[in-house]
Amino acid sequence: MENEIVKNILIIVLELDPNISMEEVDSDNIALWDSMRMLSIVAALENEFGLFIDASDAVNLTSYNNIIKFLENHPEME
Amino acid sequence: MSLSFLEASKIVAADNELGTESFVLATSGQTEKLEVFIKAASIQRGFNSDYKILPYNTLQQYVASPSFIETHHVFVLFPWDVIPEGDWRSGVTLREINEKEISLGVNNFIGKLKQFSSRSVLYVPASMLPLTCNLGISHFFELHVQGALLKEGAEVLSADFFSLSSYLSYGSPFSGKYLSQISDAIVACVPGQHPMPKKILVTDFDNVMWRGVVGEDGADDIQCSNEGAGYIHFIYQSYLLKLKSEGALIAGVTRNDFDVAVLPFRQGNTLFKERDFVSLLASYNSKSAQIQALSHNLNITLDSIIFVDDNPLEIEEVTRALPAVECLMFPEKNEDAPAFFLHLQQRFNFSRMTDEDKQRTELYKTRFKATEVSSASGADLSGYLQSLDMTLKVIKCDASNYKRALQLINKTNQFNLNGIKISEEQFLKEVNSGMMLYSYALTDKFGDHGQICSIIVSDAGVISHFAMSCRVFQRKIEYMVLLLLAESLCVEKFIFLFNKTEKNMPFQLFIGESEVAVGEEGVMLDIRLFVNANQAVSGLFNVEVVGEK
Repeated sequence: MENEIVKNILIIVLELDPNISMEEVDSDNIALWDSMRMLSIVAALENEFGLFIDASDAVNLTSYNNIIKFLENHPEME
Repeated sequence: MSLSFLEASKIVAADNELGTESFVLATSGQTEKLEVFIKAASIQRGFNSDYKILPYNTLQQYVASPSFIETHHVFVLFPWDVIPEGDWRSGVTLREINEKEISLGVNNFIGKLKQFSSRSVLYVPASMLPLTCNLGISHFFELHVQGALLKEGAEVLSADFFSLSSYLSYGSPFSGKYLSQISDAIVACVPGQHPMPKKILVTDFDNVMWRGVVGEDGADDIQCSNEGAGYIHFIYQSYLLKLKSEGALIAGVTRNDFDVAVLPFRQGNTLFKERDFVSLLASYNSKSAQIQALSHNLNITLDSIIFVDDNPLEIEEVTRALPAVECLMFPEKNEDAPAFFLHLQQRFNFSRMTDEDKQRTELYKTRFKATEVSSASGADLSGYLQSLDMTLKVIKCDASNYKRALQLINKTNQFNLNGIKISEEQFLKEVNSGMMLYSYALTDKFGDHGQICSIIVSDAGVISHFAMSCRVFQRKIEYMVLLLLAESLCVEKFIFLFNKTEKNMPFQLFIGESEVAVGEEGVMLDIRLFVNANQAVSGLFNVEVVGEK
């Protein structure tokens, strides 16, 4: 379920093709993935999952896989 | 309605042909993460938002030297916008701060706000940085800012809307958890979106103006004094008096005989008097029909009415029939009262009062005509009744469990077949001669209502006593109990030993609505016709039979 939410957030914020393979979604590969979009991604994740993401954690959320790993390890996620 | 990011995005992505409203969102922090939520909230309210934002951390400069002064401004303020020394991002100042300086600063800021002729102010009462090493004085400064803004008409939002972590990390003071709620508050400030203050409060009587049911308990036993169970009703009446003195109109609407309904006022039992009402309607017509008539007669639009009742069925009926009327449940527990009164204050939020306001009730009374209330039955509640998950427990009473059932017959006046009391001795004699006492208890999703209906009937279908508590009117229980009796007795007709009394109008109406024939034996109800006409009622109830059927 979380995977689907993260996928949809990235598709919306980064204006991605819905059929894109999420393995390829990385700030290095996606031209639109700048600091402003990063802020929007973080805000969307906070809102959808009801948690706060510190700036020191946010800098590492640079790919779909990193975001999933972060959520899996977040203490506020059941 | 609170939206998630994905829900808001979906709303924004969908095409619409709505008009556009423009405003300036004036706040000191970063607002980017609000954007999709503001747009979605606007669309939900029927327009697209086109708003300008200020560059980050320029609010102070902006209010000193504004642009777009003719455009509506929605200010979202934090304490440090008014007292910059309280800004977390600056760290604690070593400079000594005194009260005079704070007052000057607050007045100065508010003075600058007044240059914006069209403005709304939202205030998030977040904690400030400590301004002094004296806890009391620091706290006083926070309250001083809030009080000054409130006096200028600011709406105070929840302190939870502020996130210190987000503010320090990103310069955005808005908590990610509440972006939807914050955006709703902003969008609600756009001109044309703010709900108009209400003009008239329409109040129910039983268990709202007083504790108790005047038709059952009598005027002497209802409670609305400043002690005991009646205390909250005393407070409510005193608030209605205050509302009336400041220009609101108060009307009463109750399902009752008029003479019974006004008894507590005429006996001097109440703080709020009969003369304080602009109109008082008591009938057995639906409340929506009564409110509709009131609206027409006083020439007041339905959206300027707020209706207060303790019965969720009445609330539901009015909501369905008159969606423009705002309906509010009277608090069941005293702990819920502050939120209830706060809601009323928000709806009757008068900024100024004139002599005409103080006399408004009398002015309306002088042009008040007799109100004709339509006999329309009100909104169809079948769907709502279905959702109540009602269970009717049928108890065939015997010598061990008849007392409550008998008490109901002797205490109930309104839905009562004939008003004839029956003593225990008489009852036991009747049981010996073959009469049966059935008691019915109701539970639903709101809880256990206890025993609410009693019937004494012979195996030939002669009903000598039939009483039902007024607390459970409109639920079709009277129909259901007769359907159940019909099933168990296997007779062709019921014979009601009916008698019209001064107080049993609800039963008279029930008889009037049913296909009855009046004969020598009594009022007769053809069971086959009755069952055919009311079969759908069975679907509203789960039935449990206790003991012998």
